[in-house]
Amino acid sequence: MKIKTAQTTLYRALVSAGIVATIVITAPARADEMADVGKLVKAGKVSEALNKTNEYLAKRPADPQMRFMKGVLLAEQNKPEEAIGIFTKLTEDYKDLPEPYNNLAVLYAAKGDYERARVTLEKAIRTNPSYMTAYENLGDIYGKMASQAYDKALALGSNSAPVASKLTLLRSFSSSTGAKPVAQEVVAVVPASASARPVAAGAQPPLISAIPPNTSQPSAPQRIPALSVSPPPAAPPKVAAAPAGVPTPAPVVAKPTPAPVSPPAPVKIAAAPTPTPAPAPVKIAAAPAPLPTPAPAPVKAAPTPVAAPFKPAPVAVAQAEPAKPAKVEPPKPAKPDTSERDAVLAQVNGWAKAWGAQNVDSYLGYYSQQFEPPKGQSRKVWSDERRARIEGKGHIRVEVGAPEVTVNGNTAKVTFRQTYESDRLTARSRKTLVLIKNGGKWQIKQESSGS
Amino acid sequence: MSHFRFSRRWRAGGVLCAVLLSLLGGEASHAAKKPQRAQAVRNANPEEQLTDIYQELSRNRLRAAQQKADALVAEYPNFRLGHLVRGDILLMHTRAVGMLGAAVPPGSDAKLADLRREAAVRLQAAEPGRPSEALLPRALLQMRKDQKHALIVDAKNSRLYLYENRNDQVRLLQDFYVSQGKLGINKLKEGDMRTPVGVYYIIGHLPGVKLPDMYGKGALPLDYPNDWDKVQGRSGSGIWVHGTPPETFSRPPLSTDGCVVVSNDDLNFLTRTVEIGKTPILIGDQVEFVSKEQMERDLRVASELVENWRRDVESRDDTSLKALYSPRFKSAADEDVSTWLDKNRFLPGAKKIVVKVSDTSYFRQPSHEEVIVSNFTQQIVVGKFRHAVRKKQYWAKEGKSWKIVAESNV
Repeated sequence: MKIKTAQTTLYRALVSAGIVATIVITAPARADEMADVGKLVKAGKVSEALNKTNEYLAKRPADPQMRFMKGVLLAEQNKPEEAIGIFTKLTEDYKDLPEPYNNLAVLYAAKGDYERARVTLEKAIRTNPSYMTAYENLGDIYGKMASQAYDKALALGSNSAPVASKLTLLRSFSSSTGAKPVAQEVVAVVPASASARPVAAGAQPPLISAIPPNTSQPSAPQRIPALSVSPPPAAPPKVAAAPAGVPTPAPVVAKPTPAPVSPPAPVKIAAAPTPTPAPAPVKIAAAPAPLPTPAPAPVKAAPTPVAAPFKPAPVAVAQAEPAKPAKVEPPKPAKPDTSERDAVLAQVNGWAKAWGAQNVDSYLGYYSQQFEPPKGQSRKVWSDERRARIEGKGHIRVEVGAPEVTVNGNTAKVTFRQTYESDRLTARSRKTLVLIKNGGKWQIKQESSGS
Repeated sequence: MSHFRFSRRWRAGGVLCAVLLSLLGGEASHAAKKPQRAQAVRNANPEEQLTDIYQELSRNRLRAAQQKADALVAEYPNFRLGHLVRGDILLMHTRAVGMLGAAVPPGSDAKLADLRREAAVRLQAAEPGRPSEALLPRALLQMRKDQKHALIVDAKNSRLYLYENRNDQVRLLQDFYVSQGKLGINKLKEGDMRTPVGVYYIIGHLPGVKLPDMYGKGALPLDYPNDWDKVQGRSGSGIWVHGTPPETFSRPPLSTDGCVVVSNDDLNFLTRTVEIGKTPILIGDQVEFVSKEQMERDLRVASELVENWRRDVESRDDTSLKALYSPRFKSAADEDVSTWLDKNRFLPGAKKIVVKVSDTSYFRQPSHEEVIVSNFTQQIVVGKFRHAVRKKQYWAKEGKSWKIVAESNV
């Protein structure tokens, strides 16, 4: 529907002394136009710049980069409503671009609509699972630091030994940043952001290749987001719902690069860049809730419903989403039978729900008789403890994010990101449940946390 | 230029900051793009820094606030409130923080409540709390010329004001956060964990090295119980202004056994400033700041009281003089008015005496109970004989008139 230009690689650049974020398109012709606009902006001639942008858009109305620019210019001209219109449309058309979301959020915030700004920013973060993970990890770090600070505030001493880390390791590169790192370039490209990203437009996975000249330049340190190598299409079901609108397997181009991962790969990255088709614990959650059609099918990715770890954000969704996310589903090799997986997932969700509802009897009912309580506790001791813990809370909310299910006969393993929130604590962790099938019913046999 | 900015780079931090917009309110400038360097913190005391941090937050500058909070706890590692606020600010990077110490795990409720109170008191003192330059502390009706300083403890606001007296003008030099008795003020008896209300004097200095740790850098004892306290039968002793133990920068607002506790920095400053035996310290929960005119009216009332008394002494009008004393009156030696007056009579047979009052100070007790404490030198001249004595009188308002409830010769 939307994509007109196959070859669109967007990257960020500084325009006009760096006030404005913008996506520059690499096609030379447009680069020129863009540069013109940029010059005008720099010279403070915003309305001329806007005219130029409009002229250009008259010819190529879909051009995302120019549209983005227009949004920026309108905002500069203090026309927030129009700018919001533009950016909203862009987020609908290019769900995996964080920039329009960001700017949209800024505009909402300027209006005082902080809730919507927040939700929108969360969407920006969710455009890329790596951001998401980094964001979550950062959140956990802040949480840990806060707890240390509180300990000092309350003079509790440092008796609290560090709890097992909840931080999540990224085990693969995200599939959404479908390209190799763009080298610094012409304009002063901000190092951290130099990721080239494909325009994810509906059905056709665009070719990404077109990264401007000097790809040769070695990547700057720490540029995590750019390193992605998309998993080959081989293992589609695994790549569970990649973030919105990402053309699932970012194609060809990316592949050959065992990207410049090597040198300063930051701590976080565990698995090597080798494009293992492994079950990436891709963070972005295909929110499990609205099941039957289980998350996995890569197809249904589009309207990422609020991903797990975030607070429910009812409002915002209303705003833009419904529009036109071309969910043209590339007919994938239909995964044969997902009924078992569905059943397993349904159990896991039921378990989380019972927990959240503090319905302890129901909650305990999800555990099989063969369940092995931790620390060698007896079932009785364990279940009493659970009961006390759960009933003792004011409220509990449990979310299951990005579940991955492996079924092997009568055993299934589900790994997911658990978000636990009570009146006292918010914790995110990776959780693995091993379920076995007893008399046609899946029940939990093992529960373990951590990555 | 527009008042908001688009981010030009993808940085989680920037976005996270912006998330904060939702909780801080205020205008929507994009959060701290270029966090300002925390200005030199050398001169800012922790409380000022704390206020500054809160101001940054109210302007949506989370990063600046974070930096300042980091700097604060680095400089004052024992300032617990600083750590609490820093904890909140850390959390603010990722989630809404509704109140101070919002995410403190349960189990430390009492401590948390204390810190919250301390924060409230400190932050309130910062801006709205400070008396305007034009207003004067009602309690300091008139200081003696050689009293260079006076302290006023505002128990309601956990605040100690240090005034300077120069050329008959009082001027606020500084104010400090203080802690008082666990059960507040109005000390009545030994061990009641209350801070006394009244007009006292700093009567000593005990250096910290000679004291247990809990007194911190030292102590400045008060002359509690004073004459009026004794008349009232108030007991207890050892009410000091002192510092804090090494493990904490400050103590909660209500946490002492009756002493007035300040930070060690403040104690050092006060120790350098006060004059033993001279500097008054007025404690109460009705610390008022009034106009110069009001002060003058109050002073007129007070000086008329003493003037009436002087006249009656001079004219040896015993009936009239006695009427100035309250039925509650008792001397330090538990004498009643008549006994007391007899004892203070000088050369009763003399025909004519002249009574002079000089070097007078008047303080108004900052409490509900209206008490004026006057100190003066009384000089009696009988022919060639002169007799001078320094007197202290406590006048209390009884109904509509003021009566002497306690009196002593210093």
